[in-house]
Amino acid sequence: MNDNPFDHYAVGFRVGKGNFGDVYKANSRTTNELVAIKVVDMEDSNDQIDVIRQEIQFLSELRSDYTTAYRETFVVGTCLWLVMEFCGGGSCADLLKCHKRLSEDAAAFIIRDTLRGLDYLHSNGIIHRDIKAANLLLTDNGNVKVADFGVSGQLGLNADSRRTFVGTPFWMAPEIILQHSEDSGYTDKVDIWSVGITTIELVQGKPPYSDEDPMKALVQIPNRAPPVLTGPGHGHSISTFIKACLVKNPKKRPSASEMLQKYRFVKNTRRQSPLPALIASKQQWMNESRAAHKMRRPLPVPLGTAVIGENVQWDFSECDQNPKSGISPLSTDDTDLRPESTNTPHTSPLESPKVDFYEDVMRFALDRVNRRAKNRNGKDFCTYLANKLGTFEREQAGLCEAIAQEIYRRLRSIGYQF
Amino acid sequence: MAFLFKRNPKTPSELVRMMNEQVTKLDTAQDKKKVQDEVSRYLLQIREILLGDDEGDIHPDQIAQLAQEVYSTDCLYLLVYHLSRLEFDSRKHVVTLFSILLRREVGNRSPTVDHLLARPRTLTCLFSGPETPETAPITGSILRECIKYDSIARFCLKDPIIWDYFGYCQTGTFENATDAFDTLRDLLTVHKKCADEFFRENLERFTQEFNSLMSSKNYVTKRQSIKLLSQLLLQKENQFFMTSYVNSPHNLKLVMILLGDKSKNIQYESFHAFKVFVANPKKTKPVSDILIKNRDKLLVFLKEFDSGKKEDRSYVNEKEFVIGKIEELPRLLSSSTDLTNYEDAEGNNASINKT
Repeated sequence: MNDNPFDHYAVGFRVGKGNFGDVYKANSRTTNELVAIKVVDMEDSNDQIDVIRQEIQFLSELRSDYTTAYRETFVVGTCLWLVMEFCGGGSCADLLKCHKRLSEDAAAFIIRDTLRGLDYLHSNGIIHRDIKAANLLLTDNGNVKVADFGVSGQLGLNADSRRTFVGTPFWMAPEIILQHSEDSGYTDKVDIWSVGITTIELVQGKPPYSDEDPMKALVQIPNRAPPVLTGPGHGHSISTFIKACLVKNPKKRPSASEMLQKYRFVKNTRRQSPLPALIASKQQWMNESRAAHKMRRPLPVPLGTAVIGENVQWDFSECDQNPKSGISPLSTDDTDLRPESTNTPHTSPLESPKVDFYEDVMRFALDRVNRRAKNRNGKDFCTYLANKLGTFEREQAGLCEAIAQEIYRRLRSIGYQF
Repeated sequence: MAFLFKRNPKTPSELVRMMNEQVTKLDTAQDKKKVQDEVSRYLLQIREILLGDDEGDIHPDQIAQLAQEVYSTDCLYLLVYHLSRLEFDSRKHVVTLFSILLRREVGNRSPTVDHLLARPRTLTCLFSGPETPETAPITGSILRECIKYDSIARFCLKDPIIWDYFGYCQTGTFENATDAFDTLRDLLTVHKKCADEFFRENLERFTQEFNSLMSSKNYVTKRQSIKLLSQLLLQKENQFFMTSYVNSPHNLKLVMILLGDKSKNIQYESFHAFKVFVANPKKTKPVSDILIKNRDKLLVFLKEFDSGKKEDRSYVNEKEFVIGKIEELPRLLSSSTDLTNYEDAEGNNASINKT
């Protein structure tokens, strides 16, 4: 648990905002494999650590080709880093952003694998609760993985219930909304309803009633007749499939395994997956669009809110009467957060005690930036910055050293190469 | 309906025997995968007997037969010992087997508990579970099912392996470390009488090991252990432990450091331990000295101390009580306020230099 994750992973850009925390792309230093790291700040979450840990245990006990694989967890500052398999193909919702709507063939592939994933989760007693295109991820090879179950779902609900609730009413099964207090709750059949809605979403580009206000639509779900697939040109097998998913009485809704065995839509999918081609053209589209660049803005990896600030300093002078206890009560600083491995300090120039961090590092760097500046303004700013830094350094000795170290760490952690 | 298919009907005892046979081959077999699959198949059938088949029919006589065979063989030990060699999903079936058998009662006895205690190597193997990180969460959850029974909890508390748990709590992956912590907490809190016996026999070592958890640099270890400490101090059966703990100035210092931690959650959990020191009517002199020395700082700190739990009435009352108690402490006649400011400025500089 005291392992330094910066030694194991080179953390890169933020690739998404999850229900409960941000997701970063990272590279394993040992296997060179890409991973997704979800960062949850335990100091922010209302959950007790026990709840979080039970969820993670759930996650670690699952292993299927159709769910995103869990790798490991680190504690960094007050944050939990959940290392998951990286799905390079993005989500099915990304696919829709580019292609607007998918063919029935493509939808059938996605839904079939979703059902396989759900069959596995359900047989392990887990209800997903939030099936929708955005939570179906794709690997580079076009394999479909059900994501955001367990931890993510649960944590999201507890950390900020409104956010998760408002986000997804269009996919919700009627019995979740109706939940009577005398009822012992809902069953895994809620996911089957959402599969039906997701199927419509995939072939039509959006779920039914999504142009309505989410809260109003939510209240309406139990009163309305189940949505059907409208529009011309849809085959019989997909309509039958959707109809079977969207049965209001959960007892009459088939289970995931029944669906896989009995419905032609998911039983007779074509041998060749149409997904890799769709993913490839989407990637290209994303690279060209500005939105994609905006997402790639590098952000500092949070260490957690509670690593900032100071511990209170109590006065324990002259009352240390128990020096033999072996553990110094005053050893609670967070130096273990440094990404540099502690046994190589002498190879790093930053650790050398003789460096004047203002003159030799900050001032030196700013002078060079000054020379690179293309116009007068740029040069003036550099001079101004250098002088200001000098003033601050005299006020707070060590400031420049700290800044230099942080820049160094940051560059290292995002694997920046010059 | 399973009987209609007549798929190789085996009696429960046959099942257990055949499974045992395969499990012992896991080490040596040429074709490991084949043996693994066989074991998985048997475990699935055993699970069906325990939980019912597709129709949910459960036959108590079959379970009784199964249990009988389990008790008269080394079945449980073999499964635990070879756990990491079992298939990933079958390991969970072993947990089911344990938890259902443990709940069996015959008369007022729990035969599974008796069986485990009569052949303690299964328990020892489970207790050393964290040594095999791959299966540690599984052995951990089986063990916690077992220590719901006080006789097994007592057995574990007497085993020196327990001291290794203070190490397990701080090493390895997050899930394994917190799993080991769960086991430790259950052992110390579920059966209060057993825990009290343990504290009386091992006070010094326990305090030292436990304090090392609280001084950990790891946020999770710190937060979990300080929370458990306040739980232990407030458990009324733990009078002995509580009294000796709050008499030590060293322990007070540790709790105060955590009280002043940057993390609001750690502050809040520490408050519940700190209040016990303050409420103690017979404080030792070194303890009072520390409190007196920090009287003004504590008052400033506690008055501003906002844990975001204003709605928690009892907490608000307790805070007022603690503040009142500290106000009653004699004031040191020195320019302590000036000193405070001076030190704060020093503190800031120091930390930047240190970074």
